[in-house]
Amino acid sequence: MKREREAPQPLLNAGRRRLLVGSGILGAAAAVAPGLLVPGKAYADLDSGDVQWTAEQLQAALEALRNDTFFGLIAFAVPGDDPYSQNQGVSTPTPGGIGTRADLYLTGGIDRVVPLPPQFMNQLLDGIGAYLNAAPLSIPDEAAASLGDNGEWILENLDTSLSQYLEGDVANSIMLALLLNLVANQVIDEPGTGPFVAPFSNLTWEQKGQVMAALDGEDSWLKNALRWTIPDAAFRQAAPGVLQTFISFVIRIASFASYNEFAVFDPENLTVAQRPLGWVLSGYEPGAPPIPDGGDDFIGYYQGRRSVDNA
Amino acid sequence: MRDVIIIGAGGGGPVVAKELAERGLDVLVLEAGARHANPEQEWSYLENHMNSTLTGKFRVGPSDPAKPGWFRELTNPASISQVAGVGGTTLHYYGNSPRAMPGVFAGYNGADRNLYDNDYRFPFTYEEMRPYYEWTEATLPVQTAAMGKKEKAFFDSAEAAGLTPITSKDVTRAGFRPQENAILQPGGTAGKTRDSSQLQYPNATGCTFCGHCFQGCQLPKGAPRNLKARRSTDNSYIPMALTADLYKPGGKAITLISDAYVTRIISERPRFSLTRVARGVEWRDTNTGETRSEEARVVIMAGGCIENPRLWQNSELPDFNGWVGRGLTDHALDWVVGQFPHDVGGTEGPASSSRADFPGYGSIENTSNMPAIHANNLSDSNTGIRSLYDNGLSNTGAWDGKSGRVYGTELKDMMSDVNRLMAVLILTDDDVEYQNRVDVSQAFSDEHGPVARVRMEKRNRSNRTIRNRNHLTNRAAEILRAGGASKIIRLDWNPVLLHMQSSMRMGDSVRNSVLDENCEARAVEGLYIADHSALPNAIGGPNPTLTSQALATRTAEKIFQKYFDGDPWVGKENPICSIDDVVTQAVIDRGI
Repeated sequence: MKREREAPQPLLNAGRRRLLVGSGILGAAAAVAPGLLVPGKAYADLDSGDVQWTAEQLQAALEALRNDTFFGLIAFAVPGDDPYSQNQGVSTPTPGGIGTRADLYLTGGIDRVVPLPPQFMNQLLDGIGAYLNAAPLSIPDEAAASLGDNGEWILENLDTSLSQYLEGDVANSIMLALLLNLVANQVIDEPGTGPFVAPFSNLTWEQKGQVMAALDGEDSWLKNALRWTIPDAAFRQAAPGVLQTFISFVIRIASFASYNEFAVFDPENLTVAQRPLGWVLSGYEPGAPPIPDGGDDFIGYYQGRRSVDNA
Repeated sequence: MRDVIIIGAGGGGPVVAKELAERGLDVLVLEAGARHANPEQEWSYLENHMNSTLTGKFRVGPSDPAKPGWFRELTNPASISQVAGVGGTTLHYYGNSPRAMPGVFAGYNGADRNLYDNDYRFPFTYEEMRPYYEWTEATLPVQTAAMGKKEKAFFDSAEAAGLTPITSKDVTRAGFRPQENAILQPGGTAGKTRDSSQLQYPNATGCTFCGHCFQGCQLPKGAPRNLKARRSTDNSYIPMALTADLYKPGGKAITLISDAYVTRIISERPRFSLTRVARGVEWRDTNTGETRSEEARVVIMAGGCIENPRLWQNSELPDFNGWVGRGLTDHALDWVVGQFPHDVGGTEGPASSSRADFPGYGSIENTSNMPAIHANNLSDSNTGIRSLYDNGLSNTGAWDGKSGRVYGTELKDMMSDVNRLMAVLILTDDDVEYQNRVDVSQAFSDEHGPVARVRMEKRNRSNRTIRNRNHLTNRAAEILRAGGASKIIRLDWNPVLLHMQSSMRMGDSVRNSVLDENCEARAVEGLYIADHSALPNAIGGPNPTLTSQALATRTAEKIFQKYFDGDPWVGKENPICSIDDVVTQAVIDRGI
């Protein structure tokens, strides 16, 4: 069936548009399913099926965006010799957090950290959208046009799919990726383009620092965004504390993830299958595995004292 | 009907359980988390497997690892470092067992008396507390810590900074010392070899210097449970409580139920009475979801500083003076790290065997850590990422540059050899402050009711708390500098809720305390609290477990006297040590 409208008309409010474009959802969607852009086909000639997103495609797009964002985040915490570190302008000759697969730890971990109810997450994203409706963001309203003649239509369709998605369980990791990318657009005057889908991952190391500064402070962008925009009063009151704790946790856990053993854990024998890269990078336990049941560091007692006075 | 029901098998509950079991009472202990009955088969030496707050064995959550942890709402950026399970947070503690500063007790008249939190003192004297310290120290037992490379480096640094050694358990002046630790010191091959085949009990006894205190103490391999080196309550008080009938004439073994989350304290208000009376508890089996209840003459809360206020409020118990959950102290923990040009044993041996104390200000202690914990601790701050931004809050002092997180290539450089790091934990003597509190969330609930909401301020603290924290971080940096550190970082942590005290504080005034001088609730007869939340203040900065355990011993005596017409025993009898042969035989006979 042919579309009835003759020409695309922007139906989305500016906040929702900024959420979809600025968070990288649109870019990720295009990367996951480039065929849906239908290059060269006139808007009026499109079948609705040409741009009908499935839930699976949207899920894949969001996960691709998250994975790309987390590579950028881990490279920020513990740079290495990977493309994400090189692209941010701060890299090292040795592997970093990406080499330890801290990105996977981050994804698996933070989805379990805060069992936030779906209603909370839904209201949170809506709240951010409402804030963006009134707040400046470095995304031109015609950004969708860069996707071709049908960009506006795709946006509209994507918005419908996202609304449906938000009615289910939204993973914390997805929320974090959307936030990082939105803030990347919020705080960087002219976000550059780059090789990665996630806007955050295309930033320099210093620009990533600006993103963190915006989220991390007691007067953070996030707190401002949420102060008035979440409908439910209890959620509105809880959101700044919960999310700032979440951000602080993520910054810390990116380091923890880069140096722990999870990637080479042997669950059957409760040890490591090989020496974790984080241990190699830190010079820990050169002989592992196995991990010894004791050390040989016992020197004696300070001044030979085995006990002290009871007063 | 039971004589006593104890809610929580962490650092405090098992103390009361063991003491009352030795008196022959019928004691039921309910623990929300897991019981780790076979550590050698269940535990590892690995940080994520054991310590992840999300999925680790030592988390706040149900024993089933497939289920998510129990969520708490935080109103400010902070982290909570507690453990659910039999042993509670002592499962990952360092065994540090200093006594409280004498200056935090009633009647203290030392020259430095004006340095302390004098509005919220203990409602009795240090001299009254001393016998309970002695009893507890003998039971655990507490021993002077041995020295390894990192301790020698710390002592040398402290001496170079002009400090002198402290040689008594009572701390009345500034100085450094080996820790008094609830750890059995090395014997036989322990501490002398890395060859695991040589470290089986009884060839090795006590601490083997494995460097994994934070991952739980399962060593020496092959030792009976009560002879594992570190005296977390799963290795000390719980084995005793479970065998009291075997080693103590007239004793009665406790009943211990794990995976039992208490959701309500049952109480009633008798006719013509102004106060309520505790009658029992309701709990939920976290595996089956089944709800059960039992009655008792006395109910003891020992679920910790966060869960006790939550349970109080979810039980709709009265809060007539507004102090339930108020006055939470956390030692305003901070972290100062020195990078040395040589190996200072940053990952080796017991987690902490050396400290320095500064009465009126608090304490500091040298710690060893595995790599991910080191990295984690270097990445927590309230003052941003020090090379990028500071939230307008950074501090400068005796350390290098601004405070803040270490990130990027600086983190990678600091982490390039963890054994060259000397990490110093700051334990501030912080004030009881009304705004720091635990109540229940208005937004989030779980299967056990509205979750706890924790408000721990970082910036909005008293002048004295801030002064003390800055004093200690500067002293730590001076010690590291004197020892030869080439680079010193102060992190200025967000609140790390590891040492928590006083959220259900005892006191001498009905206006600002939940508990009376015997740790019985002012508003509910027969309801006691026996953990860190009962402490009246931050005890001057020292690690709180020993003081909580000594206070819990005192509380057990008070309960026995008031509700069971018994006589006190501390000071009249000799304590049975948890490693006494009679206990070991009882543990073996019962197959614990």
